[in-house]
Amino acid sequence: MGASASAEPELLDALVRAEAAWGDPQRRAIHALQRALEELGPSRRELAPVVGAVLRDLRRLLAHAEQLAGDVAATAAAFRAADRLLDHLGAAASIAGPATAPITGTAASPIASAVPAPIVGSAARPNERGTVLPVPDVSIEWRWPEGWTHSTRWGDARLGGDGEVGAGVRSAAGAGVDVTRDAIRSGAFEELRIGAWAAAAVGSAIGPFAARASGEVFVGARGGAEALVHVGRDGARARLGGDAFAGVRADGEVRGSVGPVQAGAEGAVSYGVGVTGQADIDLTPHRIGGRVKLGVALGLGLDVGFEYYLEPAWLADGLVDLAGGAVEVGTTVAAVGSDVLSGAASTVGEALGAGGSVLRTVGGWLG
Amino acid sequence: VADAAALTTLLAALARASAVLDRCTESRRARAADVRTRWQGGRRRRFDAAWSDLEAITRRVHADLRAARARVAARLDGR
Repeated sequence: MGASASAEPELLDALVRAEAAWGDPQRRAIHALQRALEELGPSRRELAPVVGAVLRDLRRLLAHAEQLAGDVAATAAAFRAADRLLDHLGAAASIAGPATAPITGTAASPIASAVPAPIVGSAARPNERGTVLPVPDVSIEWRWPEGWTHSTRWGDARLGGDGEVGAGVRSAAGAGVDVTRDAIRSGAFEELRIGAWAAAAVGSAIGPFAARASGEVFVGARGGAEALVHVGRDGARARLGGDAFAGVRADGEVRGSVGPVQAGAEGAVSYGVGVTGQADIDLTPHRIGGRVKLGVALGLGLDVGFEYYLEPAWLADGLVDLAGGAVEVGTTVAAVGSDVLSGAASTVGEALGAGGSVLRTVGGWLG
Repeated sequence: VADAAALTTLLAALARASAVLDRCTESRRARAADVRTRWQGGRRRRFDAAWSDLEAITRRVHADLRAARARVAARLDGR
């Protein structure tokens, strides 16, 4: 018991605080990855299993880390209780010396109680499951050039682009449900397209700045509908949309993100008959905002759409870094102060010891 | 068709996840090295078991991330 009480719960607190501080960046990274996967086009089917494995393991890692932090926090509380008991029994004097109560005896407001309690007992339960119904795709298409992409790198910066012309018939549909310990997602889509098209897109990423633009000219008929609902511990997201069109149409979009703000605009000019309506809503701690697109064509037609998202986490990251820096500086100052005090105490103790020795010697002479 | 743009975004997201994981793992290992010596008996055994699981998953996520980044980069480069 003495060994337990001499352990420093502050070290345990540091681990708990670190896990709590890293939880959010990890959740945001998972969220960003999830969204990037959802936005993939033709490569989605090929890359979904690979990126899905990353997502599953990242979530599992987070759950394990939360469980470990919970155990550590509980142990810190147990150490403090043992310290208080020893202090009451007076045993602390034999461990910490006669001067004052041990450092941990100042645990009237233990740090552990100020640390957000991690989810204890919610260990990584391998109960994640998902069902994706077989997708009855029908595709008779001619594309050129097939899967052509081009990308350039300058250090960390990347520029990627692709383009194609094509013609044919395509029908794709899918539906599924995905249940994890964090969320339930359910969605379905249907797309039918007959016609010819020419499309191009370009995207770039330089550090935190990203932008992309794309355009398409389409001649023919197409229709589609999609619905996706995500409800979880991280908030809610919904995507609903549908369109039907026959005629000639030119689409374009541009999207960019700077710091916590992501904004974009899209539009289409068409000649034919059709109607379009799409809406996305994100209400999560990581992303707040939405996207709306509306259009109608009866003869000459026009579609317009806007999106605006705010990522509060970007702002929080700065604050967390600032606070983390302050805590580290405070810890260093405290450690230096503690060293100085213990050095001074030791010097005083040695001086007293020397004085005692002199007195004993003098007493010996007198005796 | 905006696949290259989306792939670029995905690659950036994977790089970000990788960087966060690296920093988090480094921070966790540094603190856990201090903590491990403080555990006794059953608590120590539980901590070691949990730590071993955590390290195994961390290694797997690193491998997953490397594979995914290579695959996406290859797709982006048209290979």
